[in-house]
Amino acid sequence: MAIQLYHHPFTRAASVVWMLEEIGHDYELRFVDVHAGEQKRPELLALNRMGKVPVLVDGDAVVSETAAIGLYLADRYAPGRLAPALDDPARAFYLRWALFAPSVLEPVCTARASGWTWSEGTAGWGAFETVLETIDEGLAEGPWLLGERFTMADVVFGSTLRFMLRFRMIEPKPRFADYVARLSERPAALRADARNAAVAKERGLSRA
Amino acid sequence: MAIVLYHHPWSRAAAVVWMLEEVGCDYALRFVDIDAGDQKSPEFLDLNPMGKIPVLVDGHTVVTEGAAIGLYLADRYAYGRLAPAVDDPARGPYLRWSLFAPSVVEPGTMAKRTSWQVPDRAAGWGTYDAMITTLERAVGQGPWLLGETFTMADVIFGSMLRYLVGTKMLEARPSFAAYIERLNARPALQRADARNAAVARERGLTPS
Repeated sequence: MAIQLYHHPFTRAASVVWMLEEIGHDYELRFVDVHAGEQKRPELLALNRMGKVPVLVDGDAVVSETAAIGLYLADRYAPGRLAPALDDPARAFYLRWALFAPSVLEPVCTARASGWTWSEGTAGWGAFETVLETIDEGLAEGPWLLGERFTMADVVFGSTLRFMLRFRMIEPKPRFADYVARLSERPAALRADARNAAVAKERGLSRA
Repeated sequence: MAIVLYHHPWSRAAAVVWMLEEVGCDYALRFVDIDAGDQKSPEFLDLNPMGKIPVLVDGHTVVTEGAAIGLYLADRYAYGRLAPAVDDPARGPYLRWSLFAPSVVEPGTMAKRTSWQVPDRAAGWGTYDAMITTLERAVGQGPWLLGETFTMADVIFGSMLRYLVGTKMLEARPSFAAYIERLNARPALQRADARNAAVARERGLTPS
């Protein structure tokens, strides 16, 4: 049975389409009208009590949280290709960057964009400038986070970075822009963008 | 060579001691005097430019971010025991709960505690009420997040819940208290608590 993705093209589920295209596995999109509140209906709440998309259903496996979906798909369907093997030392950086996106980059950008103040020691995500410097160092070698190897960490982290740059939540350092440009050229990313755009068109959606 | 953990007993590194005790690996603790700013020393910044602990060094492998360290250790040293195998449907929820702690519970709790405002859809972590309901459902059936099987997700998620409930940053619910009680009964957690307390005593640390 094909993998089902509960999806809306203007949400974090758009990145999961990219993940699925990189994996190369059959999948079906189940449209969730987030503007009509469909993500709060019983069917979806039974899958994810948080009432948020994306949710991925793969047979008996139900996965929510975008980064968890990426790690799941790579280990399950592309081990050794998009996920370093369990005994490969590269797995450490791989996991670190996959976690960095939702646990550090996203909250720090949201906090800053909302004008919040926080203490660096208390917040798990640290200081904004340090986050940017850490990313800049992480991208120094390139072309990908793990050097020559493109992995699911690039999709998880890269889709977040791409979003933050597009909506000007962080300043575009040269390495950030180069990295996002490389990501955007990937055939799987282009296919995902096209598929997300097709859903938006079919549903008559436009970004508010 | 033993695993080395850069550690301070009153930081997120304390939970990594528990992870190591569950895994059953040899490890050495390297004290980082965070009150003196040792985590910003050049030697340390080489390991983690974020200037934060925990950092785990396993041979040539360096891992940062508490949840990433947990996933790394379980896959590497307790695969099939503390980490479900990659073709096990339980791996979906396993990864989900591991990511949920730093990406949802931590920012969601901080936002609530400091009265930060952010729209439900804009924040990756969703609403506080949905989070509490999700947490109650997650730990209410038990005994563990995946049912009968204790996994590293319980350490990652459970250490966060235990900390937040212990410091009253998160409201106490009976299901939380019962889950934390089950966690507290684990020998590995008791060994970790003792080891963290021993370091605090040895370094003459007193709560401020």
